Amino acid sequence: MTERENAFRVPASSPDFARTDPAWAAEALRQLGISWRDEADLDAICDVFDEYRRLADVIDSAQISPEQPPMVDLERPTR
Amino acid sequence: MREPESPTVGSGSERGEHRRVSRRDFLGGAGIRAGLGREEPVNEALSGLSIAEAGRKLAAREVSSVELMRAVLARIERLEPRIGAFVARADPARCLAAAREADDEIAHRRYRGKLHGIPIAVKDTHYTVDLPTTARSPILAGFTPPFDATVVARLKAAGAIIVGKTNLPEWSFGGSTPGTKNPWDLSQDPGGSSGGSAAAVAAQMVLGATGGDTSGSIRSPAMRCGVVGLKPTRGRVSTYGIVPISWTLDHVGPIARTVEDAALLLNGLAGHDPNDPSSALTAAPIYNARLRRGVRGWRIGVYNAETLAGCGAESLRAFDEAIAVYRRLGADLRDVDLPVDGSVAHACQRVIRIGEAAAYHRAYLRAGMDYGKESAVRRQLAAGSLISAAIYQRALQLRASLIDRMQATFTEFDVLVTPGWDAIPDERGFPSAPILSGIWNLCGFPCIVVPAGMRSAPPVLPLGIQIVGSPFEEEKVLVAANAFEQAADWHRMRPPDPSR
Repeated sequence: MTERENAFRVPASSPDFARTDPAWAAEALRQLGISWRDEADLDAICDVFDEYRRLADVIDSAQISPEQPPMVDLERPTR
Repeated sequence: MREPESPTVGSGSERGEHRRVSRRDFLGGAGIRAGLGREEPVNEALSGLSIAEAGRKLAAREVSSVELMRAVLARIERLEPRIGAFVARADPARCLAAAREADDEIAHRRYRGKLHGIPIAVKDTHYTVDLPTTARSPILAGFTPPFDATVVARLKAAGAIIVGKTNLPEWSFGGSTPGTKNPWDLSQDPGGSSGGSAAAVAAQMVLGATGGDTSGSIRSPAMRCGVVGLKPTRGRVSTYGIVPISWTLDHVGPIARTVEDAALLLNGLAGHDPNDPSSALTAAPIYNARLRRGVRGWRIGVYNAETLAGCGAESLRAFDEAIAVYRRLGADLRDVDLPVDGSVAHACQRVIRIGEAAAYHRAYLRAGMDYGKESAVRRQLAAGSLISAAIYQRALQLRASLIDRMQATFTEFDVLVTPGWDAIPDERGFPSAPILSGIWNLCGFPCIVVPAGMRSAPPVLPLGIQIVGSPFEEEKVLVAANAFEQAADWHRMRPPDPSR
């Protein structure tokens, strides 16, 4: 498991939910070629990412069959 | 100092045919006065006609498109400084020339239908060859696309005349529209992101408009401005040539003053587009053809009490009154347990939205393009770029499963009626109303909002209800909306004239 994947492991509902580490975010953004203005800007990006991590946790916790295809075709109902 | 170039001129080969209007003259209305001519009287009341009424009068040649256009241009000149609905406007002389051409065609028995000669507006996310398309971002400032969005081309082919591009928040992100006022109360926001379109229609500055809806961005401002907003089925209306937020959640649809007008605009917008890979092949019917058939005997689903628990009191009051109207109309109302966990649906909608937005913006972000000092969107996109592909794919799986279950549930009724939502969402979406708004973007089901009353407490703004249908059943949604509209009569409400 990479450090980035690990960022999603702690449930948002847990008191252990840790704020995104700015150093980790800085490295991840650097690898993606995305710049930020200054430390305050990076902190703000981390705050937003924390919200997405909480949403990701909800998604991760939801029940879904691994066989479920992700594609949708509203013109061909499956039932 | 050199004046900035006007946003009102044409482009490319057409540029030479049109007078240049300076920004100062434009804001002062000199361009419009020049286009209108000083001697001819203008019947501004014509701008308050519905598209259906105007279409009938144009076809019968009781009113000319030029008279209609002059009314619209005069009203825009008078009200736009107070409302701020437009980002850019077409040269008035050019609008009048198009109106003359429409009159000429109609006189020579080349009437194209109810949109022929009708002045409308489109959101400033729609590519237009003759006006800049900015999505309200400095990155696209001055960008004039080389082609029209399919919806723009279709509206033009139907004879509609586009008088301007309407305001929106940066890149359509957000539930408010900075710079635009709500015609019902100028201290209030019109909602967003299609707030310019909703305000322009409510203030009778155009007869109809288009908007975009990724989380509720047609429906929320339409409701807040007391007009009708329709989000069609995903794939029903092309999104080719629309600046996207999210490829799989974006929808384009009409904003109008009546349900019939929304149907007429949808007639112009809908249909297969080979340029849009998500475009549906299912044939589009004529949406106004059976509009008045009523809902007697229809099974109408209603959110159960548990689902309604999070709704505002004012919205619930309007909803209860609407349910009473449907009961009087002979509908069979039944409680519905939606097969959905609202928090999961909300999370999926938000993650898919920002994941796709981050992908669209990746080149801009990597190039360090300037989103503007005040941009809230850039941070959203940077953070969204960090979401893992596995989480995004899982959100897609959950969505597919939800749609499957939702389609099965919708076999139990003809349409679902929900309350409106009366909160202004923050720039990240509609946290107060995910079960009402964004869920239908996630599922791609068609829905419409119609006026359903007024708030009793300040700010005294319109309230609405929402009607949702199965995929490609816009006709049913429109029939149910029309039945309510005609029985309740809220659509005749007009905001006060802000210049008086």
